Amino acid sequence: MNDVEDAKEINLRLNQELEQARFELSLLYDISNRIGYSLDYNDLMVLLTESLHKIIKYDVFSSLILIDEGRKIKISIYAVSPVSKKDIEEIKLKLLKVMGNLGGMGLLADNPVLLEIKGDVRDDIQSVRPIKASFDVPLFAQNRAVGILNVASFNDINYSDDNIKLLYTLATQASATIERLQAVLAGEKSKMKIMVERMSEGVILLNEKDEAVIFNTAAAQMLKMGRQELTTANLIEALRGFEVNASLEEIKNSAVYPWVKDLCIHGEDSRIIHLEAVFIKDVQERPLGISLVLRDVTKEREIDQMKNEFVSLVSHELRTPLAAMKAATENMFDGLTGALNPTQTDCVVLIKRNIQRLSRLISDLLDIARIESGKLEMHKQAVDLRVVIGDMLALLRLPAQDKSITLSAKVDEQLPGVDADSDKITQVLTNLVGNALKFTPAGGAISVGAVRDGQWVKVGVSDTGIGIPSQALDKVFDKFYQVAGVDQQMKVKGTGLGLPISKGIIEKHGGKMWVESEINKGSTFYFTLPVFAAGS
Amino acid sequence: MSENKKRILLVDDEEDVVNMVKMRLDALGFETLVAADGNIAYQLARSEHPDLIILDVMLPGMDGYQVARLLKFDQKYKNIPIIMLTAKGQKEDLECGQKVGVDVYLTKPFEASELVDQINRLLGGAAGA
Repeated sequence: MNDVEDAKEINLRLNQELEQARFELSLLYDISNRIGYSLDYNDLMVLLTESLHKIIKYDVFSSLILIDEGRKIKISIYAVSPVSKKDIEEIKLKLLKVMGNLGGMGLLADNPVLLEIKGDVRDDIQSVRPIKASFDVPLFAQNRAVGILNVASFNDINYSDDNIKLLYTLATQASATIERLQAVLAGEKSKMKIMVERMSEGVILLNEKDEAVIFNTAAAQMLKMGRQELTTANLIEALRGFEVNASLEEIKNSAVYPWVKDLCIHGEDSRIIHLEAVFIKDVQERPLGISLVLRDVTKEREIDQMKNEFVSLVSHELRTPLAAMKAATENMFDGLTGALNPTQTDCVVLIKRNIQRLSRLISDLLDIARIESGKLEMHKQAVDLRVVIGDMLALLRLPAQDKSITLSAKVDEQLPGVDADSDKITQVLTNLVGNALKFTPAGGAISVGAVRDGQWVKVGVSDTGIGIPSQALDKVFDKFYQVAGVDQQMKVKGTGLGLPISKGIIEKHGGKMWVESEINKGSTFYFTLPVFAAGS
Repeated sequence: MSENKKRILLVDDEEDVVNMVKMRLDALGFETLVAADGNIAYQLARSEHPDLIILDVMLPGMDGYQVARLLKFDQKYKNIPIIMLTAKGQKEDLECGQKVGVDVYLTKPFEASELVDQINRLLGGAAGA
C-alpha cells in the first residue's frame, strides 16, 4: 500500500517538475521571440518584468543599465506591492554598489542617473516592509558588464538556484540577441552613412519629432548651412526664407506625392535647388518622419532658359528672310517679273512649297518652346465644340475630297460648352484630322466624335488608316518622333511636332490625350476638356 | 493720272522685304513711299498723308506700335488704315496692336494674296488707279 502511495507521490512531483520545466521553456521561447527585433535594453527590461512574475514570486523587480555607451545609468524599478521612497533609495544604492563591484566604482561616480519607477510609491520615510529575500543577476554585452538585475521580496522566500539560473539564462540570451542585432544595425548604419554622404544630392531625414536624424554634407552645402546649424528649427526657418510658403505640416498634409518645390537660394552664387519631400509612414500608417531630397538644378534651368530663348530668337530671325523669299517667289509666280516657262513655274512652285514647310516648322518650334517653358498664353472661355468641329471639318472637306476620304462628325446634340481657348483647340483638331488624312488611304473614312463624360467632354478623331504599331503608341507624342518606315511609305512630310504640341495644349487645359490603334484597321486619338462651369 | 493713284507708306527696315512688297504694290498700281525708320515713317505719314500704311513692328527709332499710337490718337491721321507686319506672332503682340488701333495684323511670312486682299478691303476695293 505504502509503495503505491509513494509511487503516486513521486509521480505527482515529477509531473509538477515537468510542468514547471515546460512552462519555463515556453517562457524562454516566448521571450526570445519577442525580443527578436528589439534593439533596446529598455525593451528587454519591460519584457522580463512582464514575464518574470509568472515564474518567480517577487515584490520588486529592478534593473540598472548603462546607456548611451556607458555615459548614463538608467535604473528601473517595478514594484508589485506598495513601496516607500526609502525603499527606492535603498534599492538604488544597492544596485549602484553591485554595479560598482562589477565594473569599477570610478566608472559610475559622476555619471547621471535616470530613474524610472512603476508601481505604488508611498511618501513614507520608513520602509513599508523590509526586504527579506533578494538576488542579483549581471547583464553582459561583449564581455563587459552593462547592467544588473535584482529580484526582491518582502516575504521570506528561499530563492532557489533554479530561479537564479533561469533569470540569468533569460537575461543572457536576450542581451546576446540584442547585441547581435545592434552589431548588424551598426554595420548597416555605417554602410548607409557612407552611401548617403557620397551622394551628390542633398539628403535629410527627419524623424517623427522633426529632428534631423540623417543628413549629408551636400544638403548642408546646398542650404548654405554648417552641419551644426542643420537642425529642424533652422531647416523650417530656411524653408520659410526660401519663399516656401509652407511648414513641414503642409508636407505632412500634402495630397501630392512627392511634395516638390524649387528653392531660390540667393547670395553671391545664386542657386536653384529642387526640393522633393515625402512623408513617411509605416505599414500601420503611423508617421515615421519626412525625407527631403535636394538637387541643385541651377545648370539645368539655365540651359532650359537658354534653349527657349535661343529657339524663340532663331525663329524670329528666320522668319524675316523667309518673308523676303516668300514675297519674291510669289512675285515671280504671279508674273510680276515676266512670264515663266513651265519648267520655271515648276521650280517656283517647289520653292514656295518648301518655304511653306520651313515656316510651319518655325511656328511649331515656337509653339513647343512656349509649351515647354510654360509660357503658352491661354485665352479660355466657354467654347461650343459643335461649332469648332463643324468649322474645322468645313475647311478640310476639299483636301479630303481630293483623297476620296469621307469626313463626318458624331457630336452629341446636348454637348455642354467646354472651358477652352478656341484657337488652340482648332489647332489641335486640325492637327489630328490632318494626320488622319495623311495616314488614311484613298476610300477611307475619318470621323470626329464628342461626348460628355462627367465633368469632361471626350473628343475622339478616328480614321480607317494604316494604324500605329503597339511599340510606337506611347512614342507618337514624343518630339520629332516619326513611326519608322511609315512616313516614307506614305510620302508624308511632317515636322514631328504636331502631336507633342497638341498634347501640350490639351494638358495646359487640364485634360489628357491618348491614342488607341490597330494595325491596318485605323487609329483613334482621344482628348478631354473640362466642361465649362459658370463662374470658372 | 498719277494724282489719282492711291499712296501707300511701306515701313520696314528689311530692304529685301521692302523691295519685294514694293514690286507687288507698284504692279498693282499703287504709289509706294518707303521708310526704314520709325521716326522718318511718322514724319512721312504727317507730311504725305498716305491712304494706307504697312508698318513693321521692330524698327530703328520709334517702334511700329509707337508710330501707330501717335497716328491713331491724332484726329488728323487716325483714319489712315494701318496694316501691322511683323515676324512676331504671339498673342500678346496682337492685343498690343489692337489696343493702339491697328486695323489688320499680318505675321511674317505672310501670303501676298492676303496682303493684297486686306489692302483692297481697307481702301474700299479701289486697287491702284
